Amino acid sequence: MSVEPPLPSPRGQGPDRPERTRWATVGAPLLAVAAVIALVLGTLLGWMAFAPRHPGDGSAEAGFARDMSEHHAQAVEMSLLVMQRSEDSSIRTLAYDIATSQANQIGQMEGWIRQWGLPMARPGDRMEWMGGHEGHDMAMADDGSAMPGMATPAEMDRLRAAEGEQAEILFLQLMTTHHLAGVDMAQAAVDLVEDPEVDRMARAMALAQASEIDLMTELLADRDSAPREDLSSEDADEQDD
Amino acid sequence: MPRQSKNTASSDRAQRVAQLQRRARTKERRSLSGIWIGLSLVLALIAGLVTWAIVSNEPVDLGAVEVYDDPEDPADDLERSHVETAVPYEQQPPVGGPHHEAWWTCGTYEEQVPDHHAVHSLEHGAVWLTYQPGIGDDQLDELRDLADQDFVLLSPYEGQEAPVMATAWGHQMSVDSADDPRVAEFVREYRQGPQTPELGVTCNGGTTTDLLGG
Repeated sequence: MSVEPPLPSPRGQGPDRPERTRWATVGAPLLAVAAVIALVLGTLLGWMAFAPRHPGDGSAEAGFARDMSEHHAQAVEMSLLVMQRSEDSSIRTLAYDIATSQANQIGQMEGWIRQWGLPMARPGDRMEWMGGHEGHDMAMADDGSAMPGMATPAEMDRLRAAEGEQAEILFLQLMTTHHLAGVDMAQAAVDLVEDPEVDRMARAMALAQASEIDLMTELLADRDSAPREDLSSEDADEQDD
Repeated sequence: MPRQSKNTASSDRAQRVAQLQRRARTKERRSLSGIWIGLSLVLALIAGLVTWAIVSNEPVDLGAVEVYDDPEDPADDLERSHVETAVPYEQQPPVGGPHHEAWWTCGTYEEQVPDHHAVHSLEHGAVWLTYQPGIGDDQLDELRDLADQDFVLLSPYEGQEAPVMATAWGHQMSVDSADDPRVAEFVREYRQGPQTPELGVTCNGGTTTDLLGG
């Protein structure tokens, strides 16, 4: 009667395949691969879960914050100029409102840029972040002003030289132009940004500046004057948006 | 008896075992090479990501910037007092120190701007680009492009040591040409940069005339 040899396991526990060899040829590389994959997945997961998702240097968020800061800075300057040149309480209240709110917003926008670890200086040109998204009033300025709606250096000089009602009318007209482009830029941001805080600010700006345009139109009418733009078509456009 | 029938089948059985072992080895070899291929791919991916991270962030070297105001050392701070008289600054153009209460409005100027006003603009976070009078028009265009933004001041500066110099509060860099990419990088780094003593202030609405009368 022959003694039946035990059926060797196909997993190679036989004398020709000691456990040690199997560990070296299969187990160790398997463990190494598992470790590497776990490391990569873990890092990726940790990054996805905990990394601060800051808008980048070329983002619409950063572009909007930089451009609107510069746009606002001129509105603050114009408001302070008219406050020194007018005694009218409605004008002074409006100018005070624009100067304080827009200076505050500049601070918030600069704060974002710093929080996102970005430089204040742009990586490229103004309004690049809009990617051709600009509305009808946002054609590139070629009148010497830095951005659409902004007063030219010559217009700023005229405002500095003006006094009384002449300064008030010039201020209201320049600021209306300024705000029209400001609303357009804010609306472009609403369409393009993902950051909820930037979106909230852009919406608030568009609303505030649109209502100030109405107020300034009335203040101009009080002075037998009018905005330089035809605002009836402006209202129609806004309803299309 | 069942045993007998097994005995007769023993050669069959040995063949089957040998076949099973061969298959198992082939399978092992296959899965082994699969593991190594996978491992190499993962390693290649990591190497690629690391290389990309290094290459894509290749910085312009601002090692040429002279630092006169060490933010880590308060004793080294440049003075920030307001003065009503001209100040003898150590550097040309000056990099900081006492200055007039009015800052110089940032922008592009064809004439030299007074040191005691420009230093106040630096305190507000401005970058001051200066050039030796007489540098070429193409270089001047280059500088005007760079100066076409808030918080940049551009003016000629008689007697400065290099054709083009970039100055921020406590920081200064000399270059031979406005084309040098370090000039643009200097503006990016220091315009309202971390060296700025007064944050959140404007460079608009200052003075554009010398309030010390020359």
